Amino acid sequence: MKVSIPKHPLLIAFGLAMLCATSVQGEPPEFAPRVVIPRAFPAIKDAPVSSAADADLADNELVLGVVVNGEARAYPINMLTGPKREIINDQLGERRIAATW
Amino acid sequence: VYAARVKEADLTFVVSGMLWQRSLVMQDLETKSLWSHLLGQSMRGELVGETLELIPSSMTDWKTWRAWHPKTTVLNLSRTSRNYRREFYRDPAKFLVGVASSGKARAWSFDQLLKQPLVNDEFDDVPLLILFDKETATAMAFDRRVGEETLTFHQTESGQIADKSGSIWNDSGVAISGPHKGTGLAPQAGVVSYVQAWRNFHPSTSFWKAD
Repeated sequence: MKVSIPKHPLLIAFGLAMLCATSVQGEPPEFAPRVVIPRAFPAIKDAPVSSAADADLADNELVLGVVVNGEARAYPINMLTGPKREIINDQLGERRIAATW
Repeated sequence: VYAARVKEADLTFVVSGMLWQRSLVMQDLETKSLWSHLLGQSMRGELVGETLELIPSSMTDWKTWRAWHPKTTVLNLSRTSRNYRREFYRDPAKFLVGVASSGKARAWSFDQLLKQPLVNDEFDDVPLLILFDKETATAMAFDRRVGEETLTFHQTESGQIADKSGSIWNDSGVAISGPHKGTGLAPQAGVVSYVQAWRNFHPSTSFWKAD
């Protein structure tokens, strides 16, 4: 199939917009990240953990819980919000994991 | 929660400062590749196309998690919010639990699970049990195969989770009585997500509906 290419920049922009708008059903959208903050945040590694008995948490606080090789850890969502905290690089049950929110 | 390892190399992830589809874009420090948080896939850079192994996790409240895992440890950082409590799910129509694999996806929305909190389903040739606890809005997905056998579950009149052998199971997928006593179903890597975000990232997703 021969496709005619519009020469005018506005037409090209319009064509691209149409292509995006008519992306194939079932395909994830094109990767087009938007820069919100112009630099990456420092990595969180080796963050402290406590025992269940020492945790200062209310019963109704939400946690992301994970078990690896029999070891359980809870990541309270109230400690994972905000761009400085959304990724915790961790080690659990002898595996390296990333808990993300 | 992802395994932070690809091609035999450990990765360290940071928040890139970018968003895609209003969702976190991660970057690994080792190769600077960019990763979609929701897809667990590298979208740009040396590792483009690589996928992180999703480790099964649960979104639940502290009381439930501690009861399931009394020996659990807990991340111990200062709070950045106080909003994420049970009441977070007061509008269940906005949330779902979903599973995705090789371009396919299936989702169980919380408002449907409120109507039917126990579902025998199947995704990607794996028979699944979906359990929903109304009080805590905890949604869990399990593989309902035990050895060679695929179990079919139902709720008893008193609301207990049972299979046809008469075994009774708790809501973390462990048989507490009957012939299967002591057996645990393998948790599957389901993700609790906003319905809208799930649709954006998995446009071909199917949705389960209560009878």
